[in-house]
Amino acid sequence: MNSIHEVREEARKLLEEKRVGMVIGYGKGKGKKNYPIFITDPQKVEELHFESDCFYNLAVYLRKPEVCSHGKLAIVVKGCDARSVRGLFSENQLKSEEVVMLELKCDAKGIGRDKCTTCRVKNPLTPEEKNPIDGEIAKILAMPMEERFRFFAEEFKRCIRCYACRQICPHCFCKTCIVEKSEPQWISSTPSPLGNWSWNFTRAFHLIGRCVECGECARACPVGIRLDILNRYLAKSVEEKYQFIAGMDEKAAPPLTTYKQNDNQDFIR
Amino acid sequence: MSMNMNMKFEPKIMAFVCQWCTYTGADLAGTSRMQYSPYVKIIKLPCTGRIDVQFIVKAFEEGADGVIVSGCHPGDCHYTSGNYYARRRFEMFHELMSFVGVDMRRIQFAWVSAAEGRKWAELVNEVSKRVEELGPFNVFHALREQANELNP
Repeated sequence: MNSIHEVREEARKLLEEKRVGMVIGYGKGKGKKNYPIFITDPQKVEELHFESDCFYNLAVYLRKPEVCSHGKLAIVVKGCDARSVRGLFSENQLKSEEVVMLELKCDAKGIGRDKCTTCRVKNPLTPEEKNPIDGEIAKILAMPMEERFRFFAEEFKRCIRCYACRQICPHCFCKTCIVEKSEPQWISSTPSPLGNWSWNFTRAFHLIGRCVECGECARACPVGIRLDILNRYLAKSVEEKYQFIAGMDEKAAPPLTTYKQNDNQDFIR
Repeated sequence: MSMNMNMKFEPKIMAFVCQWCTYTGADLAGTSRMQYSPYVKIIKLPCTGRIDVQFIVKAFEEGADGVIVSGCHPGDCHYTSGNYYARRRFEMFHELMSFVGVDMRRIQFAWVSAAEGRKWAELVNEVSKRVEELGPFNVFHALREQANELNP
C-alpha cells in the first residue's frame, strides 16, 4: 500500500465489512496542522491525510483502553512506526491478527526529523547518511566522567515530571508505572534533582532493546531534555552487542528477555 | 557527605548477592576467619536474576559510594538461567551508567561460588580500596543535597 488514496479505500472497506472497529490515522485541522484521528464511520475515511508533518507515532494509541474497546483496529503507519507495532507484537502486548497496518509510502526525508537521516526502514542505508544525534553522542563520549555526569544531571534537573515522555511512548505500557509505586517507593515523584535523575535513568533503562527511536519523547518534552541522545546511544549499543534492531522482526525475542551461554562477560570479575 | 578533615573516609559499599553461591561464599570466608574490609553491607537475594538495577540506583540514592553485585558462575545457577539473564541486564546497565557519567570503578560485578571464600574476601578488599581512593560519590550525593534544599 502506498498513497493516501489507497489507504482511504482500504480503510473504507475494512470499516464497511466490519473487519475492524476503528481506523487510527492522521487528520488535518483548519490550521493546516496534522493531528491523530479515530474513524469508526466508513463515510469519514476522506478525512485521512498524510503530509510532511505527520511525525506522530500513532502506535501509542493501540494500547489505550478507549481505543482497544473498539475491537480489532486498523492503524495508518509509516515504515518506522510499524517497528513500534511489531515491537508490541513481539512483547505479546497485541496479537498480529487483531491489528491491520495500513502502511504509507514515506520517502524517509518526507517528515524531516533527525531520525529520517538514518532511516532503518528504507533500504539500504548509504554511508554518507549521518544522524545529527550521533554528533551529540560523540561529544558526550569525549567528555571526562564527571563532566558527563554533570551534563546529564543538568538535563534531568529541568524535568518537571509531567511524564509526557511516558504518555507518548508506545512502549511505556505498564498499567502501574514504577514511579507511581509507593510501597516501597523506588523513585521519588517530586520534581527534584535526585528523583529526576533516577526517573530519567530508569525510563532509559526500561526502553533498552525496545525503543525504536521514533523521537516522540524528546519532541513531547516541554523542557527539551535530550532523551533522544540516550535512546539512540542505547539502541546503537544493543545493535553492536546483540545484533538486534528493535521492531524489525516481530518473531525475534527482545535482547534482554533472552541470553546466550557465551554472552560477553569482560566486565565481570 | 561532609567529614572532619582528621577523619578517615569510610566508604559505604552495598553488596547484592545471590543466596546460593556468593552468600554462602561470604559465609565461608567468615567461618574460615578471613579478615576483610568492614565497609561492605550485604543484602541476600534469591538469585542475580532477582537483582533489579533499581536496587543499585537506590543504594546510591541512599548514600552508597560503591556497589558489588555477585552471584553464581555461569552454568551454576540454582534456577538454571537467572544469572544468564542478569548478565545481559548488567552489561546494558554498565553501558548506560557509564554513558551518563557514573564512574564504573564504583560498581563491580562478580561471580563468586560457595567454595570461593577467598575470592569474596579479595573482591571486597579490592573494591573497598578502589572506592576509598576514589573518595565519596560526591557528584551523585550532591543531587540529594539539592533535593533536600528544595524539599526541607
